Amino acid sequence: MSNLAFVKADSLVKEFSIKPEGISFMRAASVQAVSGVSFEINRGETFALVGESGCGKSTIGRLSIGLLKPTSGSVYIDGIELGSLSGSDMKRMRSKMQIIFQDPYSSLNPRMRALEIVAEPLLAHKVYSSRAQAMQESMHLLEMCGISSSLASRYAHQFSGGQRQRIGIARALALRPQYIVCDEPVSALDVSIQSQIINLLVELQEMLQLSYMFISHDLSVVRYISDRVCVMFLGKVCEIGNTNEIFGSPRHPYTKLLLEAVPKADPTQRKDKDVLLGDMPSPINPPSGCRFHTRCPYKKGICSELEPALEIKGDRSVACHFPFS
Amino acid sequence: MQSVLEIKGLTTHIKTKAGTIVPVNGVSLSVLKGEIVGIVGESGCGKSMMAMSVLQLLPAAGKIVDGQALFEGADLLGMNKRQMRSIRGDKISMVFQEPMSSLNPTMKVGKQVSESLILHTKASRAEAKERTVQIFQEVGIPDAQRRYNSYPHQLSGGLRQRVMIGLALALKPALMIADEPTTALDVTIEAQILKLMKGMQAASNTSIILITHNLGIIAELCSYVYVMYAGQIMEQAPVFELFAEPKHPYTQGLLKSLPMLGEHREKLHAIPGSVPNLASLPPGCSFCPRCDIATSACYTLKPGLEKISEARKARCLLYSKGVAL
Repeated sequence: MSNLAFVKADSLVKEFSIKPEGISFMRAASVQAVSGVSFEINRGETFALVGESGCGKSTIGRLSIGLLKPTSGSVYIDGIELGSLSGSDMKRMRSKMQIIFQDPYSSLNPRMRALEIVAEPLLAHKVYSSRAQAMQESMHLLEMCGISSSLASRYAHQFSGGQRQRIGIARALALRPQYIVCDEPVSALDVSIQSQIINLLVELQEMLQLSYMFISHDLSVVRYISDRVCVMFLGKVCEIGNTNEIFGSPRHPYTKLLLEAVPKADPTQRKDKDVLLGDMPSPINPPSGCRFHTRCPYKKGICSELEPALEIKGDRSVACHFPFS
Repeated sequence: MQSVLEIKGLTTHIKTKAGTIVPVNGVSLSVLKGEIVGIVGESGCGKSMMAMSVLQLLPAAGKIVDGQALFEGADLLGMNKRQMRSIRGDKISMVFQEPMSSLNPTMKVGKQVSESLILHTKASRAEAKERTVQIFQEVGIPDAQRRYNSYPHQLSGGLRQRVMIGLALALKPALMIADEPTTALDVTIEAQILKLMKGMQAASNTSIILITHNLGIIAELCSYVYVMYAGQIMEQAPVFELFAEPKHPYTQGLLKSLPMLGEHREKLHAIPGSVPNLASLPPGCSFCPRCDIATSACYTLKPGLEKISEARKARCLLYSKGVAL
């Protein structure tokens, strides 16, 4: 483990039971949302998780801050394993890590004013001895995130989507965390608002030395914001490495086709592209061998029989029998 | 070339608690035979309401107050319910964003397509079924014979949208209106659906109005683009010209705020402020509170949509004298 790493995940596995409760005649089944994923996030770094819906990226985000318990494997924050912590230690640990959600409409309490929403973590963790001090800090945080103090006593529904996301960010910053999981923070926003929020996240990172896990399906945003990226398919890592290297020369076929699938906002670059065939395979019955082989245009015999191991070369890892060089 | 649909000065009002709003304010556009026309804009700009007005599918609070929509020479806005029913599906079809909510959940998908064939073409049940299976094959549904008997919930999002497109193209309409057809889909599935739409359009010479917020999709598919903001067309241009040299400050801002896949930029351009509330629009140019280059004249004069070159128009005081309030 490099001494820079702030977050370390080691062979994370998360299974969800899909047995309908109370129906005894149905056989219990489980779905493995995350199957043996390891990564490190350095201090001050933005680590992106990309992949299509159902690939397990949000589950990893939640595992990494202890909102979900892994079936096996462990998460270390600043060298401390989350699973080993007692309730009160965990509570103290939680102030170091926060999450920003995708939907700014459902992640804010509609009965609270903006000021109260941001002050709540301060009050819950008893950071200040008086309520007035907490409110003052809350006001300061809101202003830092671009919500002027004259709006602080409004309710969530009186704000636009972009402003609500700013409130969500201010709340996440309240306890001065060092690590923030940003779970699709701009996906629900309009194009003209997205760049405001991205700029805010980048500014805050520089100011406060934050480490981000940035979960997104939007590859252009990921390319812009992240230092390193992990491409996932059906609960497994396809490829991890430096963002520029991966986007510049993808080694895994899935990464390559995912990048090609993104519509480019430049009509002069139109071309007849190879589209990835078929649908996402079911995570309940994942394909044998390489999980991507049912959709892979480059597959060979071995791909359906043997699962490729994640081959680690320096900072770049790829899990494919026949990676591009 | 001959135009399929010619909308002239369409204005729609919607009664809300906050008063009457104008989501479509004097919109004129034309769609040529076999052309894909893009309408791009952010949430609440009126792009969907414009399409709903044309098909007379407005919510009860909505009312068309002015304008014409000439389809094959006849004004759609003056037609009664019976006449509209013979147009919808048969001559003009529509694909919506969320296929799950536009398909009947209690009816097999094959039945839903063959029903429309029976209704509109007087085909027999057997003929309709045969034709439906054929359509399913054309839109790339694997195992079409078996999928005929599936219910919508048994299909993935991509397959459901293929069913919708099959349904929309079953009667070989002259025009298809696709409202955010891929927004709910993953990027690799989006690429499949866009390729399918392009192929179908080329094969049958159907005209398409593509409504989206995604400039990448516009760049890849459309030949002519209308940019909407707060119920009005702000700029219209052939796609290559629009992306090469956007004329309206709003279009310029939108294009600059996109993080591009190919390059890494220092800071993203952001359009300040938020998407306007249609109930409280500024008196002059509706974009001026967010515009970098707005002058005092922009707050007092309403710009007209002026011709700036052979095939282009823009609504900005840079190109028009404006009308005093």
